[in-house]
This record gives sequence, structure tokens and C-alpha cells, in this order.
Amino acid sequence: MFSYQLRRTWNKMAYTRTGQPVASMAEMLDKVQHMDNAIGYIDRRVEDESIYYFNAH
Amino acid sequence: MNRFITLMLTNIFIAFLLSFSVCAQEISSELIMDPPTQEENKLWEGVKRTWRDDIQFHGFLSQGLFSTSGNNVYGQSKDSLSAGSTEMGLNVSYQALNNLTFTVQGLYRRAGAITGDAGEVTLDFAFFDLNLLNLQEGRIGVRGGRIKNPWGLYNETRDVAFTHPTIFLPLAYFERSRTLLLAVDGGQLYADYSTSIGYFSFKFNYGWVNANDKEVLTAIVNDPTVSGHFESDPSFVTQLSYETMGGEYVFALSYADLNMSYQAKSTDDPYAQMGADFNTFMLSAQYNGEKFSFVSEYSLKWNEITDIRMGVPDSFAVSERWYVQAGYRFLDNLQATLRYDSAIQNLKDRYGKGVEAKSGGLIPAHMAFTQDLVFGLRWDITPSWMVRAEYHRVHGAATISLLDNPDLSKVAKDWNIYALQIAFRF
Repeated sequence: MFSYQLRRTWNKMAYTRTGQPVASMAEMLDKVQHMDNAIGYIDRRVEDESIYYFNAH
Repeated sequence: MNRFITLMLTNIFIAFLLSFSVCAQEISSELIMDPPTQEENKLWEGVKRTWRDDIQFHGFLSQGLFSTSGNNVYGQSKDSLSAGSTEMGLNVSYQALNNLTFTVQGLYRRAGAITGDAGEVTLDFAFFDLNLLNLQEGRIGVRGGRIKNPWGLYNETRDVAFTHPTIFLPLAYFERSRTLLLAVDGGQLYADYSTSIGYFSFKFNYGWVNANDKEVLTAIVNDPTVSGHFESDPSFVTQLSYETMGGEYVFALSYADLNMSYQAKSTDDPYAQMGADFNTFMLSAQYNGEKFSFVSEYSLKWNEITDIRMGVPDSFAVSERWYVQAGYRFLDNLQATLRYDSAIQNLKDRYGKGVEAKSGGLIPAHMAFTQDLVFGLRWDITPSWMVRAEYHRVHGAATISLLDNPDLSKVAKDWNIYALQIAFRF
């Protein structure tokens, strides 16, 4: 998936308000952990026992 | 990946806003980065407190600049420069319950003579969204209020510059019918379902459209003395769409049945009995690759206008609109677009000879068709700012605004459009 495809989906949701947004960082973590194939963007400064930080090259 | 899962990606936006975006997944790895410091955590807590989790705002803004030869677009652009197109929108949504959301969007729009110089503020949409069934594979729900019509790939977000590739939408999104197709006041049933082969989405809108539009009336009766207006009868718009994982391929079938009747102002109004029924479908296909994108849409519209006035026969025409478009992404944020676009007002009178003869030369033949060759460049400077420029070589004038071009005898057959647009979103 390319970043512009993500933006396309995101724009459509934001400007038709037809998506149910994730309400909090905690909910995002919960969704990513409990749904297959889910990817989420969070802030790097969030500290949580369940997160492993790693460097991607 | 499907759109249902991307529903969870909304915090991308927050990340953009705060200008820090780092991807984190629950993947175990040997490479553990420095843990965040105490100070950074405090900063994060502060940021979080300023947001209410259940209320969200979004908005957009665009300004266009046009210069044309032959015919006007968005004001006086002919052999001149017009800044006649401005669009500004703001929406807010409030999640009252886990499965109940309220949302509203206001739109300010300046688009040439139809809105006047001062522009117009409208309620773009306002609805409640009640999710009746929410499973991992899909959802079913209802929306009630004013709801955008799912027609083709772009109608729901046609005023949001960021969501379509060129400044001018393809001719199939006929600017003159904009108001008519934009939204219904009524209800929507929606169902989404994701499978291993992709994502299916179904929407059915039922209600009353906004038929009180001068452009539509002028185009139908071609009489400046007409004093009444159209009012909507019950209408529906529906769409079935399918996307492969991540939206690499998108296919959609849309259908609309729009009905309206004329409301006379006085008892001796010659148009008192007039009614109009429009039935239209659109087939859409889109490919989104890494470098190349292709889009094509094909639409037929049956226009039936009855009891126009004494001595005028009922009018029945089938309009055809289609385009093919290719996009090439030089860089992630720099895209070129080439489109061939065609609109025929009446398939039985493709070249307009009939309409010209019937009107005694009043309506020139080239008002019956348009072929438009478009070349555009789009630069997404940041995720929030975008500029684009485009050139149109136009043959025919079926799609021009009659309010911006009131003198039909001066309507040009072959003409050019140069357009520039800057847009912002948050």
C-alpha cells in the first residue's frame, strides 16, 4: 500500500465523516493488538509495556 | 488492506498535525530504541489533554484562478482572469455512543454567477450515524438527515479539492447538475463487508434532493422570465463498490432516480404542470499503482421532461458522459494527469443539428456536446497544502454555466481553459 492510497482513504473518511475514527491512543493500541493485519500510527512518545521500539532502515 | 481496517488509522492525522509520526506496531524485535524520557511523556500528556477524544474537527479550503478564451468559467474569465471559485468547508463530529455519531459540515462556496460574488453558505451535510451491526468483517447501519450522494468516485467529496486529481471534475460530474445530485434530505442504509479478496460497500440513499436550482431550470426551459422553481419528489441514489486490498483496484456501480415537479408562483404560469425525471447510472473503474493511476467512468442519463408548457412537446433525451484518465507520479508528491473527456447531451442528436434547427438557430449546435482534453500537474507541498495547474482544450460547450454565459449567440465552439488552484486541508 502506498502512502497516497492511505491519504485517499483518509480524506474520504474525514470529509464525508463516514468512518468511525479511533478515539484515543489507548484504543489504537488495543485495535492493533487484537485485529489481524491492522496497522496504526501512534506517537513515538507513548510509553506502554506492550510496545517494542525498533529502528527501521 | 481494506478500508474497514483503515478506519483505525485516523490518528495519522493527529500525527501530521503535531509533526511527529513514527510507526509502531506490536512486533517484537531485537532492536529496541531508547525508551522515551520522562520529559517527553509529560509533553505527550499535555497534548492529549487539549483534545477531546469524542469530538473531531476537519476542514478544507481552496481558491482557483482561471483564464479562458471563448467562454466563461466561474465568473468573467474570458480573455481575462477570474478568481471566481472559492470553497471552504468545516465539519465537526461528535461520537455520543460507541455506535452513534452526530456530524455536520458547513460549506462556503463561490462559483461564478450561480452563487454571486459574495458566495453562498450551505449546510453540506448533517446526519446521525447509527451503527446497527459492527463485526470484524463488516458493518451495517443507518444515517438520517442530509447525506451526500454516493455517485461515481467523486460526488461525495466533489468540493474537497484534495480528493480528486484535477481542478475541474470530469464532465460526468456535470457542474450544472451539481446541486441536484449533491445530497438527499432523508436516510441512508449502508453495509460494508470485507473478505479475503477485498472490500464491498453498499449505500442506498432515499429522500428529497435539492431541486431548487437556477442552473437546472434555465437549462430546461431556456426562458429568463420563468418565475417558479423545481421541488423534489421522493428520489433515490445507490451505489455498490468493490476495492481490492489497499484500494489498488476500485470498481463501482452507481444509480440515481431523481424526480422533481415545478412549483408555480402564479396561477397563470405557463409551466405550472411541468415535471422532470432523471434516471442515471455510472460505472467506475480505478487502478492505483505505485507510479501509474488509471481511471475511467461511463454514465448514461435518461432525461424526461413532461408538460413543459402548452404547445411544447415533452422532451426525452439520453445523455452520455465518459472519460479515460491516466496519472503518473514522478514523485510521491508530484503527479501529472492526462484525461480525455466526452459529454453528449442527446445521443439521438449527437452533433446538435436537431436542437439548432428546432430552436431556429437560437441554441447553437455545439451546445449539444463537449470533448475536453485535459493536462494537469499537481504538487502536494505538504500533507496539508497542495497546488495544481491545468490546461483544457475544449471542443463544444454542452457543460458551460448558462448563468456565466447568458448570450448563447456568443458561445464559442473551440476554446481553452488555463487554471491554477491552491488548496489547504486540516
